[in-house]
Order: sequence, then structure tokens, then C-alpha cells
Amino acid sequence: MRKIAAVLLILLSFSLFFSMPSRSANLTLCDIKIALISKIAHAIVEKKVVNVYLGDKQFLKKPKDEFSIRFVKNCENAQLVIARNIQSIKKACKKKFIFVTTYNAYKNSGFAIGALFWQKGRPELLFREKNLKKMHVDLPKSFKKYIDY
Amino acid sequence: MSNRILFLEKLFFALFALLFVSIGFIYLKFDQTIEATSKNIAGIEVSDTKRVADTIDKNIRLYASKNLYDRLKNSPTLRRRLNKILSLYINKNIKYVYVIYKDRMGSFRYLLDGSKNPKERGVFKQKFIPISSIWSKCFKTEKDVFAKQRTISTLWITYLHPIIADSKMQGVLALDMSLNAYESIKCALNPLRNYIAYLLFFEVFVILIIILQIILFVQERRVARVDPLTRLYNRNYLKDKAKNIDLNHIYVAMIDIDFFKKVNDTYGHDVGDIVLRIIAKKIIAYTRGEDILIRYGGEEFIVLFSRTQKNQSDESIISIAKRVQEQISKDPIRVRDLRITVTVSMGLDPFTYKRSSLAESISIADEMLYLAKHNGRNRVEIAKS
Repeated sequence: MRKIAAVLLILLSFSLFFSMPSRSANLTLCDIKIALISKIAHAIVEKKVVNVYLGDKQFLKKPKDEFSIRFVKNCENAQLVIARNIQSIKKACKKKFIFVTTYNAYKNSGFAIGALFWQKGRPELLFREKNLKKMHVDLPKSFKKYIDY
Repeated sequence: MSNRILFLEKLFFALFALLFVSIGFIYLKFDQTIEATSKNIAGIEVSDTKRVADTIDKNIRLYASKNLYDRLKNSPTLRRRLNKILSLYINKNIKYVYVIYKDRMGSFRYLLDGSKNPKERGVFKQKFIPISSIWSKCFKTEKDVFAKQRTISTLWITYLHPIIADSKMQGVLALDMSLNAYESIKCALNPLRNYIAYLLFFEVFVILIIILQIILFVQERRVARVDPLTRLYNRNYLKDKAKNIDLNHIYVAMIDIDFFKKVNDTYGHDVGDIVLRIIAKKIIAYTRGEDILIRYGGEEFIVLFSRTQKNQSDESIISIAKRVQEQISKDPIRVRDLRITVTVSMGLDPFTYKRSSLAESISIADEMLYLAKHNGRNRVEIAKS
């Protein structure tokens, strides 16, 4: 009887140990941002790996080459440029797909194809319809709700 | 006395098991408890927020009783004033207060925003992308709606209140509640959870030690019950076995090597040990797999012949016993260059099932062995009844 109880106790201890609520690490904000940039990049550029130039270092402090995007140091080699505002972008890169990281920059510049910024804890994503047409970008259906008319 | 110790031991074991199970249960239920507590507190917070929303609604309608969008579009001053009013309701529990409207295209856009931080503040007509479906629900039902935020890590509950004027939906007032209250519940309960977790880990640790002790005990017991020279079971084994042996299923035989002292004296103890080992192997070889051989003393062995069937004839056991004795005497033992003829005497009790204890059966087998020795050795003597 005692042997059975001991075995049960041991089994119970292991089952309790393994059924403890797992405290898996959540995705960091940085990971979420990279994933979002990747989604945007692949929505507007039809390439397996999209080169991204990150002009706003404050927006993403630790850029990592993940989710099929590669961060490049020179904006001329990039297909997608992410900047705080248009003024900070080289003249040669102004014809590329530009995403800004504040609503003000988006509102005040006609160059940006869209904006990605954080407001009230939420990620906000906007695509300017006029520029999408101008640059012949046809967004996937799932992105339509982000188009700003 | 020993009964009392046994009782206390059982009681201790039961209490330990109960403690372990209850602590494990409490630990697993802890998250649910936090969730239930926060739900109760959420209810209180939501009713408070509803009152705040009603007050803000009244304030807004005081300045713009109808056509809110048009009034705000035409008056940046009014926008600033109302934004300032909204900002007054921001506190440690309410993080954001803002008003959203639905444009002709069906997109949600900011009307007002009380956020003090310009980075967080939504600009008039700025597109707002709702994460959850409660926004559409609020616009559709024109009733207060609230929902727990699952995707935003800094917010707890979003409360939506429709602003209706002249039976027309002017917009939705949103109040985002911060995680402060929820976090404070969690913070208050977390030390307790950690304490329980440590206790649980300690108990798991104790159980692991118990498992280790059991393994060591089993190993030690195995060593203690085996004779190192012959690798046969020894008296300790017999003592343990005697406690739960069924006398109906065995026959006891006692074997003694004849003139073994002479072997030791003539060839030395080294040879004597080898002879003992070989005799042990021979007895094993001539008995059956289910029979148990025990080294009882110096050159004395006990065989517990297995009685597999109740109606098994005693003759079959007698013939096995005789075969053991005869085969050993027929086949001389080769040690180095020596050929040593060794014989054994055996006393057999074929009526073990009639005895009151194993000790009694061993005692009778021993008497028979003595008789075999007395009658000239190298023979088997069988108890008559």
C-alpha cells in the first residue's frame, strides 16, 4: 500500500511540475516591429528578401535580419526606407518606398508611401492611397483597411 | 512500541502527501485566483469608468450639442478646449481618453484626444485602426461596451461610450484603463505565489532525495543479501523471505559438504573457497530454475524447492534431491591440477506445507541432515512426516 502511495506521489509530483503554467517569454517590442516591417516590406515589394534602410534608429534600436528582410547601411541599396522624417533622407533615396515613423511626418510630407508608429500602446499603420497608385503598388486584401484615402 | 512508530510513520507519510498535493493544487489555482480577483475589481473599475464617461459626455455636449464633427472641424479653439477637458480625466487608472468618429467611407478617425504627450495624441481626422471588434459593436448598438485588451501589453480594459445627440451618433468616447490596478493585484499576490512555488520546489527536492534514498537502499539491500564468495543468497535473504513465504509452495532441504574441513586442511583455504563455489554452481545446475539456493553457513546450503502444484508428488522432489547428491559425488572437482572428490549429505523435509513456520521446516531438515551424517554421509535422509 505504501509503495503504491509513494509511486503515486512521485507521479503526482512530476505531473504537477510539468503542468505548471509555462512562463514562456513574450515577443519583445523589437521583434514585433521587425515582424511588422517585414509584412509591410513584402506587401509593397515583390522580392524574397527585401533590403530595408533604417534611418530612424530610435524606432528600432536592435535591427535584426529576420523574417526575410535585410537591414542595409546605405539607403541606395534598399527597396524600403524607414525614416523619422523626409528631410533626413538622402536625395537619391527619395524616390524609393518611404515609410515614416510619426504621424506628423506622414501628414506633412507627400513623399511617404505610408507610416508606422506607436500610439496609445497600439501599432498604427497607414498607407497613402495617392502614393500607392503613383508607385503602382497593389496591396494585398488584408492591408486594405490601412489605406488612408 | 513498534506499532506506535509504524502508525506515526504512516501518519507522517499521509500528512506529507496531503501537504504536497494541497500546495500543488494551490499553486496551479493561483493564476485563476488572480484572474477571478481582477475580474471582480474590473467590475468595480468599469462602473466607476462609466460614471466618468457619462460626465465627459455631458461636458462635450455642453460645448457641442449637435453636429460635433462640423463644430470641431470649423473651430480649432473648441478642439483645444475639449482636448484639455478630456485630459483632466486622465489619472493613474485611466490612461487615455479620446473620441473617435466614423467617416463616410466607414473608416474610424480621431475627433478629440486628451493625451498630454504629443506623440500619443491623435490628430483631428487622423485615421484610427481598431484592433478589436468592440468599436464596430459600439457604433452599431449605440450602447456602452467594454473589453479587456489582449494585444496591448500596457492597457487593461477599453471602455467605449457612444456620444448621441439629436438621436444621431456623434462619435464614441473611449477610455483606456491602465494596467495599474491589475498589476497592483498581481504585485500584492506575487510574493505569496513565489512562496508557494519555493515550497513546491522544496517538496519536489525532498521527493527526489527520497527516490535517491530508495535506490541506495535497494542497492545496499541487494549487497547485504548476497554471499560475496558464492554469489548465492545468504541468511539475511532467508530472514526477509521467511516473513512472507507460503509454506504450501516449498520443500526445504539442507545440504552439507562432507569432510569439508579436510579439504581446507589438505589443500588450503583458497582451494576450499573454490570448492565451495563449484559445489554452489553444481547444486544450481542440478536443481530447477524456480528453486532457491541459500548459503546458510560455512559449508551448509539450504534449497527451497518450489512446489508449483499443490498435488505435486513428494517423489518428484525426492528424486531431484537424490540427483543433486549423486551427481556431486560422481563428478570430481578439478581445481588447478587437483581432482578432488567431494560428497554431500542432505536432509529433506517434504512436508513443509504441514509445518507451522519455515524455521520448523529448516529444523527438521537439519535433523535429517544430522541423520544422514550419522548414517555414513553421501546420502539423502527424508523426513517421514
